[in-house]
Parts: sequence; structure tokens; C-alpha cells
Amino acid sequence: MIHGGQQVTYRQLAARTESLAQQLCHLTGKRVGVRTSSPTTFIPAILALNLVAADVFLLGSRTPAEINRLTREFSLECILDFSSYNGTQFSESVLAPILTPEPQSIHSELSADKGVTILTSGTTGLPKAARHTWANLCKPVRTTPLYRHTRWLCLFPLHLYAGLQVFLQAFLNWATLVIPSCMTPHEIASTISHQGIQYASGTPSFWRQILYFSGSQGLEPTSLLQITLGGEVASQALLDQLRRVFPHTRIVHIYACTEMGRLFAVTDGKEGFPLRYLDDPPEAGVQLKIVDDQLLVTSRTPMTTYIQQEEDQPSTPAYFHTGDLVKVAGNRILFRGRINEIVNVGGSKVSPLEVESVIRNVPGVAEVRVYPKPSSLTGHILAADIIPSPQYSQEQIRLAIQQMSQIHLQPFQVPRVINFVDQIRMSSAFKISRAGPDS
Amino acid sequence: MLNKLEIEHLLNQAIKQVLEDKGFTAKITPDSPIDSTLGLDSLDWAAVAVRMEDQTGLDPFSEGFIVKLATVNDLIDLYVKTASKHPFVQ
Repeated sequence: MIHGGQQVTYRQLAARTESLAQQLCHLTGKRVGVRTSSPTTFIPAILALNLVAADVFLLGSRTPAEINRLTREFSLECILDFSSYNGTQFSESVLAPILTPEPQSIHSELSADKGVTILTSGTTGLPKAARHTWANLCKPVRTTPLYRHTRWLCLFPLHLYAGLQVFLQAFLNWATLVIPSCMTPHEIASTISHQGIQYASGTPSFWRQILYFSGSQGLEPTSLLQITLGGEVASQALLDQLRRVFPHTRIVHIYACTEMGRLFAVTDGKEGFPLRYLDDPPEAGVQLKIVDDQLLVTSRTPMTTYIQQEEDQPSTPAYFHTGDLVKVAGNRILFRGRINEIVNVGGSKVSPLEVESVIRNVPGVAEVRVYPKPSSLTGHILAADIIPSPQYSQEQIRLAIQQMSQIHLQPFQVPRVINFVDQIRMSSAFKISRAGPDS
Repeated sequence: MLNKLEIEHLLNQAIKQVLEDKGFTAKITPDSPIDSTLGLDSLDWAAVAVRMEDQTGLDPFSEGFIVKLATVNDLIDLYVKTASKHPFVQ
């Protein structure tokens, strides 16, 4: 693994994992939240917790306020924070259990299928906790001697499904995984070039940034054998641009969802996917159908369960409602948005409702509507229309929004267009209309 | 059709507005870099593009141009190029 100036060999990774496992062996059977910021600590931490059979929740780099909330909601017993890990010291907060889980039942669940719990955006502000076994996470990985020693670039966060897939794709093939030291377009393009990356995976938004904003860093000639896009709809315009800039590179876009895993890959250079996938499953165990313009899917790599949600637990082979709306155009199926109010901002799913509830608490905000605006660069960005309270100036309110956002929101959740208005658009049901201005 | 000066003015306004929303100010010149130097990240630049589209009707990033954007001047030229492709967009 290469991350910025750090290199970790497989041998070193094994040693770190063993050493951590010894320090963490008391966590067997415990529900553990893992907060990480660096890939070179994330991987040994996850592997070590797997060895000791802890029940792992991937918290990413969420704020302490958010982690406290998740701890209560998911009855986490311990939080491991590796954000200032220096090889020996990490922070471990052991919490009194809110409920007292049956130790035997947790144990038996884990010994059957070890795995991790991925947190993904929900509609109400609470993330959905999707548990996946390692067996299922590894199923879509292609292992071949051809991949040994190849160099893979991962632009996805490792604590989310796509990042775990890229990690496993490299890991199971004894390949090198490279993560840029920072996610600016210039640094990414420079990493691709200087590290001789052969396989690069990222969202369409990242690829657009690399094409437009990498500045003086040249992209051609390139070592890239394959570019993979995922997490957002890949537009025909972007696929064509990538083809022109990288004429000798294979371009693949993948459709996956956290709940059902990787579903299919499209390699023909066209947006959407072939109509025939409805009758002719694109991958083993994957079935697709369209009901009321929504795409429903099954796979052989579903999550095991949502944890502590009231929604139905998916069971094989029940179809999962992806929430993605599609339309048939000739012999092609194209994506045309979401059925609920969740929008995709640069590959990350956001609930404008949740953001609204945060902004509503900002001093000086009398009322607010948060809504998506389409963006050719990032899919969508969030905008906020604000009715200010009379005693507050616009500057004061803007500053307060900034401060509140830093504590409670992740960057993709922060409204980037702020308008001060006299009236907020309401729908006919007298609820705040969250649809974009064109609806 | 918008000319280069008008586009430069509108773009400066859009960048200034996005900066203000974040509580920053900065002096913007045609040589200003389009990276995080001004305090704007990729989502902020997307917001600049959205504000420009609201003002001008132009969206260069849906045109499929292959361009390298390093400075504000590059962005101005991109909008000029887009405007000449869509002379009747107001």
C-alpha cells in the first residue's frame, strides 16, 4: 500500500495486523466502532478486528458529535479511534453498554460469518447499517495471476462499499494499492503518473475533476490500462471525454449499491446499460427488473441485515428497491434520478431533509429550504434558501452556517449556494418542497 | 451574445459570492489559480459553475470539451468558447 510518502509491504501489514490483534483481543464479540482517517491504519485495524472476531462498524472520519449519536443508535460498546495512530498509540473508549446484548448470540452470529458493517445514508438522517460478510465482499473480486504486482488507485473512502471492493481487488491479488495523499485533482493526476497506476477507480465527479482541473499535470502518455467509474451515474459526455483523453485505456462503469453489493459492469463505452440485462443476467445471481420506473435488483452478495432499522430485512431472493429511477431508450436503459429525496453529490448520497434540520438550528435562520441543483461537475450540489431573522445580518448568518456545518455536516452535505429570500417555496401540501427549481 | 468582458465580470461575481457564502474574501484576477488556493474546493467550483449557469444559461461542463483549467482566465475562455457555440442563449 502506498499513501503519500508511506509504503507498507504485505509483510509489514501482516506484522501490524498481528500486533494490533494482540492489543485488541479483549474485543472479541464486542460491537466496535472504528474511526480512521489514514488507509495505512485502517487496513491493519480491520484485519486485526477480523482476527479477534469483533463486530465492526465502519465510522469513517465522522465527527465526535456524530459518533456519539451513532454509538447510542447502534449500541456500540467501544470506539477505536486511529486518527492519531503512530504505530503504538490509539484511543479506545470503552462504553457502558446501553443495552446488554447476549454475549452468546453475538458470538454465534460472528463465528458463522465474519464481516463488517458499512454505514450508508438513510432518508431520515440516521445512516443505514448494512452488514456484509467478508465472503460476500470477496465474491465480486476477480483473482488472476495477471493482477499480481499490478498497481491500483483507489479514490473511494475505504470504509464504504466501493473502497472495500477496490481494496479487496488489490489485496486478494497481491497487488499494490495506492491512495493519493490528498484528493485534489492535481495530486490525483500526479499520483497516477508518478506511481505508474494501471487500474484506477473513482466516481465520475473525480474523473471530471482530473480531466478539467489537474492543471499542469499531464495525463498522456499514461500507464492506465483500465479506468473504473462508480458511485454516480456516468454520463455519455464523460465516457466520451475519457475515451478521447485515454484512447488506449479500457473504460468501465459499475453499478452497485451498499445493500446488494456490486451488480454489474458496463464496458461498451455507453451510458446506462443494455436492455438485455433484464432478461440475460449480467452477472451470476444478479436479477434486474423495472417496476413503476424504479430499478429492483437481487444479487448473491446482499448485506446480511440492516441493523436496528424498522425497514424490512431483505431476504434472498427478494428484490431490493434501489430507489433509482430508469427509463428505456431503445435497447438501452438510462438512469434518470432518485425516487426519494436522496441526491448524489459527487458520489456521496445526501438527504436534503437532514441538512435542512441542521441549518434550521443556526442562529439567525428563521426558515430554510435545502434543495439540490443539478451540476455537470458533481451530479448535484445543495442550495439553501434562507429567510433570515430580522436582528441578524447576512454575514453573521453565513458565518454561523459555516460553523454549524463544520461540526455537524460532511463537506458534500454543506449547501454551496446560499440565497437569502423573502419566501420559501411550498408544495401544495404546505410542506417545504424539496424538489429542484425545475420540478 | 455575451462578450469576454461581461463573462469575466459575471464569473468574478460568481466566485466572490461563493467565497462570501463561506465567509472568505479574496482578490480575484485572471491569473488566480483554480485550485484550493483561493479557499474553494471542488464542490465550491461546482457552485461557481451553477451560479454562472443561472446567470448566463451557459454550462461548459456539459459540452464535452477537453480543456485544462489552471487559472480563472482559462475558465473565462471556456465560457467564451461555450457562448460562441450558443450565441442565442441569454
